[in-house]
Amino acid sequence: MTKAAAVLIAALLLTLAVLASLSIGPVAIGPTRAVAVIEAAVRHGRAGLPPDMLRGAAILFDVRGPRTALGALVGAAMALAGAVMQGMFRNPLADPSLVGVSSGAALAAVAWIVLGEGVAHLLPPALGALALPVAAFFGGLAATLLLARIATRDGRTEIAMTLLAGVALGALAAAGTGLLVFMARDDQLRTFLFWTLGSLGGATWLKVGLAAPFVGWLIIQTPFLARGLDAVALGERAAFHSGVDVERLKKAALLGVAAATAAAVASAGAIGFVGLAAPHLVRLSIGPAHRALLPVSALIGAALLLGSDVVARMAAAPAELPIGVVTAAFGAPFFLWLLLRRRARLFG
Amino acid sequence: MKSVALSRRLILGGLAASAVLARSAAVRAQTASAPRIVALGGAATEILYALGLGDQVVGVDVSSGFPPEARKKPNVGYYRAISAEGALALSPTLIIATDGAGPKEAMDVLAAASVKLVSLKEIKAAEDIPARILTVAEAAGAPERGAELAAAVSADLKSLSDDVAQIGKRRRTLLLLGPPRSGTLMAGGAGSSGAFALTLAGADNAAAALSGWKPLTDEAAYGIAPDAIVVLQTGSPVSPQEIAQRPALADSPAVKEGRVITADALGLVGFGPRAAHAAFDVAKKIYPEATFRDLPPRAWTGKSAAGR
Amino acid sequence: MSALEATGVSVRLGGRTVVAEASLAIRPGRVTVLIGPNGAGKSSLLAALAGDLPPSEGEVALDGAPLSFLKPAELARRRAVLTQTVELAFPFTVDEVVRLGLPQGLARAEADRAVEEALAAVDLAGAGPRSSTAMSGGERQRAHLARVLAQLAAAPDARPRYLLLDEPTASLDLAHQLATLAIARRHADAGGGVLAVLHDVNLAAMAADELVAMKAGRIVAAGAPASVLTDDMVAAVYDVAARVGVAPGGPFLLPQTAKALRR
Repeated sequence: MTKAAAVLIAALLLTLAVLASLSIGPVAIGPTRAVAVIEAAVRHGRAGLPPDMLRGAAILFDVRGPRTALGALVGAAMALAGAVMQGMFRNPLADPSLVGVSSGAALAAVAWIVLGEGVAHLLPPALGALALPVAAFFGGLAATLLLARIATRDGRTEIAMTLLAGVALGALAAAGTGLLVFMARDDQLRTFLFWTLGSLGGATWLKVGLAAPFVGWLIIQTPFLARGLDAVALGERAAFHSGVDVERLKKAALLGVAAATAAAVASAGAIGFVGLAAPHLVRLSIGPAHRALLPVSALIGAALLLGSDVVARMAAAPAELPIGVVTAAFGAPFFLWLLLRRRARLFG
Repeated sequence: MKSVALSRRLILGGLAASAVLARSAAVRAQTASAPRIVALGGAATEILYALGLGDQVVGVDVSSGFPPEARKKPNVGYYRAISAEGALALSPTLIIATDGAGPKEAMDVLAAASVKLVSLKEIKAAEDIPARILTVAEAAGAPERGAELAAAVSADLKSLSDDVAQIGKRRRTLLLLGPPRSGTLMAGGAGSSGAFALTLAGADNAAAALSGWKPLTDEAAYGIAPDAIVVLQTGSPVSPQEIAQRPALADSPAVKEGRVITADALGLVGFGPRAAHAAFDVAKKIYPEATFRDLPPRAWTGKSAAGR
Repeated sequence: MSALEATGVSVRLGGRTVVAEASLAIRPGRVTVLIGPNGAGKSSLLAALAGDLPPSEGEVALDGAPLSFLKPAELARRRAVLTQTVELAFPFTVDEVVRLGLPQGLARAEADRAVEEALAAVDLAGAGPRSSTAMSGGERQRAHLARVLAQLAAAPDARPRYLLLDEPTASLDLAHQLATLAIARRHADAGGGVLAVLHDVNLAAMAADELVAMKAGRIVAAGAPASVLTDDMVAAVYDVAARVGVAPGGPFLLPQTAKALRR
């Protein structure tokens, strides 16, 4: 498959996923009806809609719209972060959780759920729904900054040290999380459990707006990262020899991934598997060169997450399956199948 | 989390072996005169205090948030994750466990320690509430006061159910477990404790398509368009605006017509002596236009007059 | 005078001094070859000249400018390095590997030509689409040599470029060993400077304009091969007693005549 074709196909898949996400849901709105509502809203504005269209407009613009946008953003962030991590660590098993984002975010989330309730009501109601994601965001970012500090000496970030210290910090955060889980009541436990399994429920345009800059920051850096990560595949020394500022690359990759992942985890919970699998799916079809791998992974990640979300909200409607369950349940067997089929290309 | 549960199990295995030791301590304590009661779960604690046996309570769990003086008692943890040794360390002569107390291993240890262990049954119908009061009173050796309390609670429940029966069109009510701060709307489906509380309050469960407490899709919540929303408060107070801001609920009659109701979780779905008054308060807010006979003020509700 | 030059360079690694007060100039038009026993510090000195290892003492300068002043990208336009082992993390194709060496912003046609020429130079013409992980060790080594050549070939300006090769012949058959040394020679003839670390003393003597012998981190002899490769030097550096012969192409050493001295 040529790279242009891959980009085209990925973009097509994402378009389909967006359309599915906008037009499928527990409340039936046919595609023609949806188009009619959107057309009317564009022409007359939300306020000018006829009463029989208000309901459809609310579903499309207030519920499915932000949910679709958030899903695409989160899926792209996770896949892109996974691809960058795998390239940076030169390890096909790497994913953003290696740099401590997920464990830091989880610790902060459970801390807020269990310990924050004493102060939660002091916040203005507008912030009530945002406090948990904001706490998770800063928890994730703090973990990565701490890790980067530990692993950096004389301005050089040691990749092996980052990996090991990341494991240690992750274990420490898990201990804290475990302790808080132990202290939690049923309802708090349930809140945390469902947070860890991930959900796009409660998506609002505000949340989309808050996550977008951080994910966007990583996306903007992809051309710089792509060239550097290709060279890093030769090893850090050879990358430096071929003209890559490896230290700058590591910092940009680490911080970009941390910010995007923290934003993604904060707004949708710790959704596993997309970050690991999406880059592999892409690598299996177009090879490991990052110039194409990064953007195509982002597109495929977004499509994958949106597809999973459609299943999550339809499979048990009106209840909602945790999306992490769907991404793993459908993604893992498909991924295994691909691995077995393309063993040769992957392990040469 | 799995490892926490596992290690807890291992510890409990060891505890079962040491139950013999605990037993001798318990027997010694029993020879002393005053009964020593450990209450597990909010309902058990509330019933004991309502019976006037608060002085005999030597230990409670973290869910026992009412009455306020109960919180000053030694705490043995969370009633669904009890440490048997912690409870036995208080040398109880009687342990009253609300339904759901556990884990099973710990309850087995408590039962084997020859402490009198009374487990309350799950509430399935209104008459189960006075029945559970009688059970506690009997175990604690206060059957007369138990009969009085049970009769009063029965009368309150009856008064409420009679009034509720007069309501013509029942409102479809969505019961949420806490505000959706983690993102998902956790709704009380069929068979949940919340569903029964709605029955007491004369409302139809808008989320009856779910079973148990489950996350409800926003879109489904929009489709349901509930007439009223009851949010259970567990720890921190919830403001109705928090619910009204959720796009999926903003257009619902509940928000538009001002029927977003907050209720204390323990009072409404704990099904202790306050059950009638808690359901009464909710019912009045779901049906502000209906007339309800005021329930007589009861000491155990912690309020001077019921139904403000 | 332009050169890639180390002056009084010491390198410490893990608390040990692996290169001590080494001074060495790689000059355009000349092939310099480093020889010496295992652990003599040859690769470390090459790494210091490449800019990988900052010297603890002394200075490395590229045409007069200290290496630490140059950005990696500038450095890459003027010197290329082939290290001993390059393990690719992902199954890149040969074509992609060679392209990794190219500087950014090169026109497509120019890039294609540079890649094609580099592959032809290492006898891998047409191997572009093959997966590098499916190649033999020798082929892979040549693919990386092609990458390094492409890096310098595509450099735009006319200043001298330096080629640093750490045991470039290690896993090659005899024909490709000779071909690789011929590539080094052509680079020097075209006005570039070459530094190579070689284990084979005879190949080194044959390829070098200047032969540099190291032992225990120090440069112990430097000069024309005939003046460096002597019975005494071999004994002192390798702890081996051997007779160095002289052929029309330069000095040579027959391993059959060698005896270990203190082993």
